[in-house]
Amino acid sequence: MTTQTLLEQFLKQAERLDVAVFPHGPTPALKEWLDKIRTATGFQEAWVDPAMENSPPFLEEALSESGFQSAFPLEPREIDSSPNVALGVARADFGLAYSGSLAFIKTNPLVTLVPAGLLVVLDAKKILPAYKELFLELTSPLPAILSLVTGPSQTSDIEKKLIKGVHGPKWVAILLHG
Amino acid sequence: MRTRFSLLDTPSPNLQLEANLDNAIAHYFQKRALTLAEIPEYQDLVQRARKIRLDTLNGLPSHLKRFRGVLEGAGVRVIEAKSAEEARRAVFDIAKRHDVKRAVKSKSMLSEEVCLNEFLEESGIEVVETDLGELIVQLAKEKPSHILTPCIHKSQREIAELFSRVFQRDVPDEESAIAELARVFLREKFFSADMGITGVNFGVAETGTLAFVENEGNLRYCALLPRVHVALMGIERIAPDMESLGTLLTVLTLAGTGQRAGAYTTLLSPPEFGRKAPEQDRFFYLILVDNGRSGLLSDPKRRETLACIRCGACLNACVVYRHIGGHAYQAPYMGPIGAILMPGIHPKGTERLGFFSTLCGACREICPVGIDIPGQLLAVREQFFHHAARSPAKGVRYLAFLLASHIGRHPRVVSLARRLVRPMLAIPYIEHVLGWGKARDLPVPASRSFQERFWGDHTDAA
Repeated sequence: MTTQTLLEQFLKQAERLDVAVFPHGPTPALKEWLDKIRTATGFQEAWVDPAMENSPPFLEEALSESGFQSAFPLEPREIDSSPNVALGVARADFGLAYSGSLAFIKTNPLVTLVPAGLLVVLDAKKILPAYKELFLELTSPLPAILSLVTGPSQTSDIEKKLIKGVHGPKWVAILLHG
Repeated sequence: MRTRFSLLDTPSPNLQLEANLDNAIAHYFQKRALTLAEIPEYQDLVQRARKIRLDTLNGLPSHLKRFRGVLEGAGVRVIEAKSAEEARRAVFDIAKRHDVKRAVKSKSMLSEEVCLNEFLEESGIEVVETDLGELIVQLAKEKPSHILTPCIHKSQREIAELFSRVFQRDVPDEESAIAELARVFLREKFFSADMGITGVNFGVAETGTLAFVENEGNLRYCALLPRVHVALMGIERIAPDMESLGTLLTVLTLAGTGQRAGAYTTLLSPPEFGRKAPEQDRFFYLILVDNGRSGLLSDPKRRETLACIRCGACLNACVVYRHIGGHAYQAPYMGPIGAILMPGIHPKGTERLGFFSTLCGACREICPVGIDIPGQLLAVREQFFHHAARSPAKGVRYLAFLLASHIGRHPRVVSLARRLVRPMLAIPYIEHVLGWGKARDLPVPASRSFQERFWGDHTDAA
């Protein structure tokens, strides 16, 4: 499967999961998405994963422009019992074309779980077909945590009605580059 | 504490229950059909998954040995629980060792099977269910009625009323308001819990990896936030290698919810499962639960039942389940899979579950690992009759049916019997005293027999 085919499949699944995809750069659409989260949550705090090496400068500017205050996630025991975090920012190690999943190996999983919104930086060349290829990429010893995020946190427990943002992020977006 | 299971202790199913089930299950089938329409290779995947599961079960002792070897070689604490009692005791001992006051728990049918919550609560440990559906049934002091959707029997209005009562506030009849209240309530619990208890979807023999699938994110909280994580895993939930795991994860969500993947798939691998390191005062324990599974495994006719990956699809397909709901089974596993699994691992009080089926075969059609559920149901029935044939009650039943067959041949005796029985059934609650009517209406015999009415009407007409 070519990179282009994988990318197309990935984008198709992301759209179905209601995951916004923005090009890697300062765009009005990104600003609009960030503003939406700031307004909807009323919170300022954004957790930027410390494992996210070389955070693009435009992203820091965009966060600042939308009124976010960046912070690093703390140890779980030091986090407030009901942290009001608007946004998590992390870099995905891989994407999966089959399901639109984002795979995180080094990222602190709380960054992708606690905030109301999640913004993920993904390299288009790191999109793999499915689980099999992802597992082949893992080297021994396997990571203590491999976390896959496939769209917003959700449940259909009440009369099968889809509710987003039950415990994890309600909004997920991808900054795609490469 | 209820550690035995009995059938039909609950009231009869009602129309509201059937409507709730129909609504939820119709939605499931719609979503599943849309997803599978784009995956033409689905049946090939099912065949592959079936082969993986059956091959794994055939060599389970060696896979388990390898799995344990990898884990223990990495210094992971693995506890073997042969029975439900041992599993409960193991969790309690861990809780005591780490001075646990509050535990948060993700959905785990195995914990229901071993009656863990009741045991911990009675031992003074607060247990909070964190899956939204599980929280709802816990607050309602009920049991799950579906493997994947525990509160499938409840309408939104009923849930809003429940939350209003429990949280002492006016909760609107809106799904988002209910979910938001649960989110705020549970978030505080996640961050203050000492221990997280989870099930395990699959354990990988090759790497010692544990795989967890969910949609809400609560499992991830339970596994990662508290300083102690206890994972309960049935001994049959082994995938030999990572490639097999990929196949099983794929069919699990396709069959269970019609999703290509759960919103959260978490793979924890040794030695530091979820970055739990004793030197940082963070601990991980895996409890491998047998609780009757070895017995099923040793029976070549019944082994296939253990291939189940708990997707819950067979419940949705089952006409009996859709009619009576999960509570009527009075067992932690309900529906077709409950009807074949429970008599295998916990025969006492569940022997009759094999008859909760029309044998239509819809469960076999939908099973993502192709378990021949009707065949297994027949095996359960065969075992039931085998045991019943040796029961002292058999002679009494035989005499009762013999007597009934003689009475039936004499219309005047039948008429007399009918007149004798009618006033007895007028006694309030007699049907409950008789036992038969606990889950059904006991019909009162007609005041006149068919023949009396027929000839009477003819005489009147004449």
